[in-house]
Amino acid sequence: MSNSVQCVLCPHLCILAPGERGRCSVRLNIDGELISLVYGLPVAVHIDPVEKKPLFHFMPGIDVFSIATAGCNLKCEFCQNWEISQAAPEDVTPYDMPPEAVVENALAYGCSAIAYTYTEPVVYFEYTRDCARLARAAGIRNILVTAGYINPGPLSELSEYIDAANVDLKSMSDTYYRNICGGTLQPVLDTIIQLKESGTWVEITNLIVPTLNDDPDEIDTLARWVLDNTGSDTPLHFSRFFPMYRLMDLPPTPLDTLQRARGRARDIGINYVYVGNAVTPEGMITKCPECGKILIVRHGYMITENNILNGNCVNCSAPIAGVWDEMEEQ
Amino acid sequence: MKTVLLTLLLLAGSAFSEGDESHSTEDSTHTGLFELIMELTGSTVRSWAKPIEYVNMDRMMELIESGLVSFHKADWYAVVDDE
Repeated sequence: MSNSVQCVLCPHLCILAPGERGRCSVRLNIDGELISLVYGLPVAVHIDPVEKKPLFHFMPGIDVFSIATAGCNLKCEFCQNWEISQAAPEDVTPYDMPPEAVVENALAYGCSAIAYTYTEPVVYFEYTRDCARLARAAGIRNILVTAGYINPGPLSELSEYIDAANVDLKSMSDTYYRNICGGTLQPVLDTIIQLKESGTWVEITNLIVPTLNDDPDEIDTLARWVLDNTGSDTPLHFSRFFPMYRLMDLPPTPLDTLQRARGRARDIGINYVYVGNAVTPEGMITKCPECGKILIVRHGYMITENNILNGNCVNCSAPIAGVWDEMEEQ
Repeated sequence: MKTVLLTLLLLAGSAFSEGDESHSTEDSTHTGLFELIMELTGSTVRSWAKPIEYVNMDRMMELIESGLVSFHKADWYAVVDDE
């Protein structure tokens, strides 16, 4: 034995000699034992509306206690949270917040859910799982905002406690994942399917980056994959890119590109397609797929109109996919 | 095919790992599992990913004393038998 370990949490499958840490920068081999360097030490703690995750069909309007530690197992060149996601734990001063304190704070601030978000909850797996387990026991929902780069076994353990997830499907190109994100495509697709099959409410986000993944054919491929593998009722969010991190030389995504992507995905058969990080006509509106009535109108993260009652369209009574219970209690 | 086999193996691993017990280390089931994973994945060098790096352990000990990092036992790993 050499006291080397292999981390099998994510598809990188890092093999680490003593004193080495993985590509996530937060999991370290100390004398043959793998250690998490970030358990109970979030570097970001905020209260956000659930719409910011974005989740548009999961308890609209609720406040979400949102946490993140340092670290990520991808290295997306467009990352909007790169200051913490690409940081090592020692680079960012954390809060001392064990799982019990996370749940206590969520309750104290009236949050109906906790989101594991901003960076990558996969790399703080044990912290996410333990918080989620306590939250579930306290009647608080759990939201995972993730790139989905995790192996099936750990995901199975985690998804037991996860009520909703937004998975970032960055591209349908494996080359894009390798060159721009430092990962691979297939594990992400597998994660989406596994989460869906586990009963987790799933929404998907695709950040459209000019010249890199904005080809209409790729948009079509992505929308068809979503339709074929998760069904027409899975909300799909096209998100606007802004110059960030290592992609400062590209322009923001043109609004026309986002609107065309939305149109194409709807034409392919996705019922709920949204545009994020931008103001576009109908990009933030939920319509009934049966009768076309406007159901939810959002301005920014504020809901200004709601025509869903008991999970159904108030006009034609068609069931609207999602988890609506909190909204109906209000 | 590799991906499918790897997925099946890891799913099998999860089945062995239910519950509160640690999913790590000495379990003989895991040892065999990881040998198979390594055979299937072939090269361990993934040039597109962030590098694995050594850390300054003296610095790490200072950090844990100051509360800026935690040494919390992780799950989902196994000791590698080089032989």
